[in-house]
Parts: sequence; C-alpha cells; structure tokens
Amino acid sequence: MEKLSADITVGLRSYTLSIALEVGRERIALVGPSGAGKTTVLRTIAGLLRPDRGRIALGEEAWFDSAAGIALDPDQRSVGFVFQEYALFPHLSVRRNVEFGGRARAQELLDRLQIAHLAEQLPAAISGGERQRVALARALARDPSVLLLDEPLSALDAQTRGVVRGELQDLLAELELPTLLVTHDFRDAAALADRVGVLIDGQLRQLGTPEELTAAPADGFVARFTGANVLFGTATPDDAGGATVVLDEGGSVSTAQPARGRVGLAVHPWQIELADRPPPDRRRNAIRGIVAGVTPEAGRLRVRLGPIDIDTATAARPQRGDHLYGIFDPLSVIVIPADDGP
Amino acid sequence: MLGRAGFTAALALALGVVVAFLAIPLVALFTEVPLREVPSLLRDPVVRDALAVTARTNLIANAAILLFGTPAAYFLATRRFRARALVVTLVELPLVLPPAVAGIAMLSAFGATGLLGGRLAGSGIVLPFSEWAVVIAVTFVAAPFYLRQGIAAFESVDPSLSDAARTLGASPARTFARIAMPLAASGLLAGWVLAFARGVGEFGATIIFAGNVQGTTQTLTLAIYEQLDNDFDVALAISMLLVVLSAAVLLSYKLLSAWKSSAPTSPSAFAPTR
Repeated sequence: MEKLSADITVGLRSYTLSIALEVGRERIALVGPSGAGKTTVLRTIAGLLRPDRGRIALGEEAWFDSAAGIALDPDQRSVGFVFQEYALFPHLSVRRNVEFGGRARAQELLDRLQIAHLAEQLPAAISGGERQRVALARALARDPSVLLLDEPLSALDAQTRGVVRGELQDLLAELELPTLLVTHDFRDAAALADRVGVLIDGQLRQLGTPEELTAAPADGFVARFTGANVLFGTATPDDAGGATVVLDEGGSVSTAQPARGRVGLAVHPWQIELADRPPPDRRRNAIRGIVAGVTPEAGRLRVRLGPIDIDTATAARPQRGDHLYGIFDPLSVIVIPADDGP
Repeated sequence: MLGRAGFTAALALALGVVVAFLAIPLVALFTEVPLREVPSLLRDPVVRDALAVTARTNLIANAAILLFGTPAAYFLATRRFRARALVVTLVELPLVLPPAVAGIAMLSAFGATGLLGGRLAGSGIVLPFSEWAVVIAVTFVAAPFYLRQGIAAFESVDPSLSDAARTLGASPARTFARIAMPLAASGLLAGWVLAFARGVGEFGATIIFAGNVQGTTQTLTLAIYEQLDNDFDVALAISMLLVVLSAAVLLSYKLLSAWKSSAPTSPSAFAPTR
C-alpha cells in the first residue's frame, strides 16, 4: 500500500491554500467551514485543478511536481473520487455508471454495495443513499490507490444520513485504502476518519485524532468546531497551579491548567450541569445566565444559557427566560490561545 | 375603467388581430393554389432541378455545420479564454446580419477580385455563381443557429460529470463522446433543426453570391422568385411545399424542446430499453 503525499500551494480568490499532508493506510477527514479550501485540496490531488506549486505523489510516483515540471492528467492518476452531489451520469444505468470506472469489478461491487437490484435503473429513479453507494461503487471500479470523498453525506436528508454514515464507516474501514474525505461536520469527520484536520482559510490549523482535537484544541476555532463553548478572558495564576480567569462577558472561571494574561477557554456542553442555584462547592465554576433557547436532541436537552451551550439530561425542562446556573469543574476547562477571531 | 372581463376581452381582441394577420396569408396560399394540379406542378423541370440543387447544397452545408460546429461549440462552452466573448459575438453576427450584406461580403472574399478569390482563381477554383457558392452561402447564414444552441447545450452539461469521467480514467475525447455528446444531444438536435430550416429558406445571400441559374444555383426559394413572372401556379406549389416543410421543422423543434426540458426530471420515460 503506497502512501499519498501532498504538499501544495494554490492561490485562491481571497487567500492562499497551503497544505502538507501524508495519508497512509488510514482515513483522514478535512473539516472546516465552506470556502476553506477543502474541496480544492481534493481537486488538486485528483488532477482537476493545478496547484501553483508543490508536489503530489503516490509512493515514489509523482503525480504533480512543479519543480520537475510533472503534471499528470486526472485519468493518469489512480484515484477514486466521490463527488459532493455524486455526479452520476444521468443517461446511464447504475450498471453502466459503475462500468464506466472499470468492467472487471463492476458486478462484484454492485453486489458488495447492495445495489445489484438497481443495476438497470437510471440515477434519477433511485434514492439519495442508493446514489451514494453507486458513486462509491463507480469510484472503486477503477481499483484506485487513493479514495477521495467530497462531502459524502451532505446531499442526504437527516434521516438517511445517520444510516449512510454507519454504512460508510464500515465500508471505509474494510477498504484499507488511503482515504481523504472532506466535510463541514465534525461529527461526520469523527465518525468516518482516524485523523481529522481542521482547515481554515487555506491553512491546516490542527491535525489529530478526533479525541485529541476534542481534548486539546489548538485554538478557539478548532475548539468551536469540535462543539465546545469558547469564552475569552484575562487569567491570573492562583496558588494551586491553576488560574482564575475574569471573563469578558463578566463573571470568573477557575481553571486547573495554568494560564496567564489573555486566554481562551473551551468547555464542552456535556461537561456543564444545569442548576437553579449556585453550587455548594465553591471550587466549582458557575456561570449565571438567562435561558435563551431549549432544543430537545435525542432524549437530551440542548440549552442555550447566556453565552454557553449546555447538553443536559435534566428531567425538568427549563423555560426560556429562566435564570439558571451552568456548573462545571475546573478540570473540564481547556485553556487555549486567545489570538483568535470570533 | 375596464373590469376583469373587459380586460380579458381586450387581450383576446389583440390576440385575434395577431392570429388573423399571421394566418390569412397562409390560408390564402392554400386557397389560391390549384390543389388538384399540385402534383403535376411539382413535376415541372424547374421544380425538380430546384429540389435537387436545394437537397445537394443543404446536405453538404449541414454536414459541414455538424462536423465543424459541434467541436467548435464544445470548445466555446467548456474553455475560458480571453477573446472568448469576441469569438462568440463573431459567431453570432450572421444571425442579425442582413442576408444581402452576407452575399456582398462573400463576393468580397471569394469574388474574382476579392480577398481570396484571385488566388483561388489562380489555382483553378472559381466559387461565385457555382453550386459551391450556394453551399457557402447556406453554411454562412445557417451555422450560427447550430453554434448558438450547441454552446448552450454543452454549457448545460454539469461540469462535475465531465470531471467525474476524467477521474474514472476517461480521456478528454472519451469524456466528450460518452458524456458531453449524449447529454447535449437533444439541444444539438434542436439547434440543427433551426439551422436546417434557415438553410433551406436562404435567399438573399445566395442570389447575390451564387446567382439564380436553373440546375446549378437555383434553390427552391430562388425558383419561387423566378416563377413569379413565368408561372405563378408553380410558385404557389413550391411555396406550399415549403410551408409544409417549415411546419414539420417547427413541430420537431417543439417536440425536441419538450423532450429536453423533461429529460432531467423524468429521464426514465426515455430510458434505453436494453
């Protein structure tokens, strides 16, 4: 199994995309807001877009090398590309779509992805989840050395999405191909990939396992992407090795990690409890706020309390306008750099 | 003030005027023509020669339009380059150019003293007033109809489909043949129908550049013009023939357009049954 390596620079309209990646026999997800350059990375690797400079290689085989003047055409690169809206050929049956990638493995893939019974249908006649499987089968029919997936779940409705995410998870794990996928949803990324890279304005802010990103986000943006609340304030070290942070919004928070000066704080919603009075234990943190929104989510409640989101299993459903406390342990507060925009 | 009913009546009146104005000449054509004699009138040598010239010249012109126009339209639809807008404008110019001007322009190019005519004459090729002149005139005025529609047809093919084909190992030529062509086919066909109709109806540029010689350059429309003075019934019979042809062309264009607009949402109705 060859490794895919890419180290490229592409000038885009409002920023320069510059990224270096190595993908072994693993799945890497690039996450980031739309327009961060995620799709551009996939397109340059597939050869659909030419970077300004850099090198893209599979093992020893250079696909693109600006220094050596190498730029292979897309059909010369061994990639399987699953497009965002799947880009199935509307005039060809499911079977012909898959065979377009290669005839030898077509039937095997139709069977394996459980779309054999749809083989004679046109893409317009099948469901979103089925289309995705056809797109995957077609990409794999070429027997690629690298698999690229652009927002593989975004074209699906919420209900199908959960099911397809599970199927895709199993399939990608089985394939053992170097896989690079792109999504704007951290949960999709965490579910599908071994490592997640956060791409903001063309720069890779952090690359790590979903757990690493959640436990130690490099900055406020990464923290927010993993779903954490991010607060800013000014820290003064305390005598227990931690710090007390006076928040910009008012109030203060104790941290177990050392901190000094301007800092950002990340707290995950599930680590905050909702209470109607301050905690008896004075060492715990409490943020007082007004309930601004309550959203039931899979048997739990997502409560917007002042500046923070709280994920709680509380039985008593709070009302908008209630004055409540969000209570969390200093140990659950992650100190991050403050040099970060909103 | 007009009420709702009054307003609708006013609209209906306007429509009545429009329909009457457009229909009366066509109705008159069919009432004036001695229907019983049409078959024998159409066997007149003038008509037979004109039919043959029209068929031959249009066959070659349309072949040329399809052969060169299709790749040219694909190029203009899928590539972005600096002079593209200028090229597209140039390609569309004959649509609005008076045909007589087109005829003069072709004389300036290929006439004995023209830009290329002198050199062509030197190598034994004299185009003006030959059957080839008819072919050139027809191609010149008809090609833009095909090109315009062809560019639009290729532009409406989702570029990610071509990208997908490329990542699946298809060469650019195979991508064109297997993806772009089939998906643009109905649009291309509709454009070709329009170009064909324009070519058969061509008159102004032909009479100036090719003249009106029976059996060589006299097409059906030129024959009508000549028969006005000779045998009005023959002119009427040819006219009737062209009305029928035009109606058939318009009908097939409408059917193609309906097929095209329904194709993306319900392609299963036209699924290849294999």
